Order: sequence, then C-alpha cells, then structure tokens
Amino acid sequence: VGARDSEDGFCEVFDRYAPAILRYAQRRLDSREAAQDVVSETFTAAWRHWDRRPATEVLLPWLYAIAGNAVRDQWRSAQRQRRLTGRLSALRPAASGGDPGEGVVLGRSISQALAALPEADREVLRLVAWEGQTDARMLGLALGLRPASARSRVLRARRRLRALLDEADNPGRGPAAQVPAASSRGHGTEA
Amino acid sequence: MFPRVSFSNAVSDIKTLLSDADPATADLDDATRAWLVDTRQAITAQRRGPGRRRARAQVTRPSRRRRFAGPTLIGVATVAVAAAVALVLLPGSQAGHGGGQGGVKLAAWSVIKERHGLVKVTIRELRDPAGLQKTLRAAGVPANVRFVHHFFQPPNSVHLPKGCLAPQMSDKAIATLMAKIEPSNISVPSADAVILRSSAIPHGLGMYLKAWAPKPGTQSAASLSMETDLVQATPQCTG
Repeated sequence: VGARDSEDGFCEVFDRYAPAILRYAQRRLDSREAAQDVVSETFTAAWRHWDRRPATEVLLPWLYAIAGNAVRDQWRSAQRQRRLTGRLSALRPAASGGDPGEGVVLGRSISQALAALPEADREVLRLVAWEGQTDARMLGLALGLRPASARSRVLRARRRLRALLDEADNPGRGPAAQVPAASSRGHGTEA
Repeated sequence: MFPRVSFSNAVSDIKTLLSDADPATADLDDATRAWLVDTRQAITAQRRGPGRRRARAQVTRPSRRRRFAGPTLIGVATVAVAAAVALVLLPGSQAGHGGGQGGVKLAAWSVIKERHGLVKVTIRELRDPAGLQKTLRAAGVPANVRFVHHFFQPPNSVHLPKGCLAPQMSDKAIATLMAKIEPSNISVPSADAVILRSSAIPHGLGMYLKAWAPKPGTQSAASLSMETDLVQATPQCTG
C-alpha cells in the first residue's frame, strides 16, 4: 500500500469517525479544549500506527480504546491541577469521588445514579448508550476486555444502575442491589 | 433484587435509560468542522512511525507527574535516531526484533549524556528495567524503573512502587523541582524520550520512571507511555 493510499485511507477514517471521537470526549470531559486534545491525540496515535490498524469493522472500538487513554490522561491532569492549586475544596465542597466526569451535566436522577457507580460501570454504560457499542466483542475491544468480560460488565452495570434508580424512586426501602462505593479501580486489564 | 435479563435486553434497557441524558447530541458547528479539517491536515503532515512528535503543541502542565510520551509502536524499529549532540552513548538492551523491511535495529532503550548535564532517556521496548536503572545511576540519575504491561494505565499507578517513599516536600515544591529536572524549555526530540537534568536532582532524591504498554501481540491501541515522579533515593527503591 502506497503512502498516498495510506493517507487517503486515514483521511477517510478521520472524516468518518473524528466527530464520534469528539463526542466521546465531550461526554467524559467538561472542557472543550480537553475534548479537542483527545481527538488530536487519538488520531495522532492512529496515524503513527496506521500500518498496524485492525480490520475496518473494528476501527471504531480501536479508536475508542485509544481515546479512553487520552481521556484518562485529561482526568489525571485535571486532578493534579486541582490538587496543586488547592482550589477544589474551596470551589466544589460537595464533590464526591474526585471523578472529573461528574462535571458533565446530565438529567438529575440519571446523573446522580451514574455518579454513584464505579467508573468501570459508568464507562460501559456510556459506551452502550451513547457510543452505540452494543456488541460484546466491540465493547471488549474498546474496554480492553474479553467479550465475555464485557458482557458481564454490561449486565452488572445495568443491574447496579437499576438498583440505584429504584432506590431513588423508593427512598427508605434500601438498595435493591449492593453498589460499592465509586472507585478508581476497574479499568480493564483483562485483555 | 432484580431478575436476570439477557445481554440484549440489558443493552436495550441501558439505551432507554440513558438516551435522554446524552450530553453530546448537538451537531458540530462550522468552527468545529474547520478545526477537524485543520487537525487532520496537521496529523497527516507528520511522517508516520514510532517516536514522532505529537500533532498538537506540548502544553506545559504544572504537574507533579508528567506524562510526556504519546503512543509509540512496540516492536517495529525502522527509524534511525539522530543524536547530534550526544557526547556519551550508553546503549541499552538490544531490541528483540528489527521490524523487517530492512529496518534499523534499535536498542530497547538508551541513555545519552548530553551537554549541560542533561541526560536523555529513550524507551522503545519494555525490556531490562534493571539494566536501565543501573545505567541511569551511572549517568548520575538515581532511579527506580518499572516496566509494566497494561492495556490502559492502571488507575492506581499514581502510587509509588513498593519500597519507594515520596519526598518530604509539598506538592508545589515537588512541581517546582520537577520543572527544573525536566526543563520545559528543552525540546524533547521524540515522544518516547525524556530529558533530565541530573544536576537538578537533590542529594537523597531520585526519579521514578515508569513505562507501560499493552502486552506484546495485542493489537488494540498499541502504545507505550511514560511517567516520572520523585522518590527518596534509598537502597530499597533506587538501588
């Protein structure tokens, strides 16, 4: 494959998927600049590795996986910035869990339920609902999990979300399912 | 307790629950479309291959832990690295594969002492961390080097490795010191490299240098990334 063909192929993929990657980043970050950085970093990495890109049908989850790393970089950067400046406690005394993704504005009850979930559950829910990754294999590629693990995570995340929403609708009944405290652990390493 | 549902029903339920909460449904505006075109052109203007500069400008972050490397292809060594100002070359482990196509076989990592007390560390493959640690020490940089295979950076990676203690300094003081050790005004020649000013490392302190990448052979998002931090230079940590 010649350099010209490679560039044409890359440009085609960029034009097709860059808007999706931008939205992916916007859903997870509350800064327009940070979301644009994610797009830039994701496609720069894809361009570098273009000769080793996966098959066409799994390009999008491959890009989501790269973008996921870039998003987590942005989160960490934001957390460090807050820690260094000491502004977090002054400006957001009610912040919980320290997850920058919570800054994204969602519907009230859904937002509260998502915020109470572990990040691993939140991420799989976002991928299914908003990125349309509804195939276990594609989800696994995007999350760095085996398809079976991705499938389990979807079921678990849905069960926990339902439990939290049920608890919100029926306060005092107690949680219908045990939901552990939000944790930074849980990003897939089970490839 | 909720009844068990099938995978497809769970997917449908999730989509129904979250469909109205999507925070990014608006069409792209003209400015964003123009920005995407510019970004695509900036990326394709770069040559492909490992260790290239990022498309976007490096932004100095007042961070205790700086991650400077973008994704770098593992196991394909087709790039000749020019080290025009290198005075002393301390080669590391030889890479296991040459990348085919007549590519140049590069060391898995290299440590180059440059002018003005600068030490350039380049990592291409996650091999022989102990050797790199020993070589860095010989170059005047006490260090704890960890190479790990992760698809993503593990969320708990901000923790220092076992046996290493953080310096007894405030985050602000650490950030200031790190800015001296990793001068932001010195251009890093490639994305898989870091330049350290060994003379700026106070006695009793050392560098924690961690590099991670997916397991060899995994296809998704092949990348190698690095981060650094300060540690107390102790026999248990930096050797």
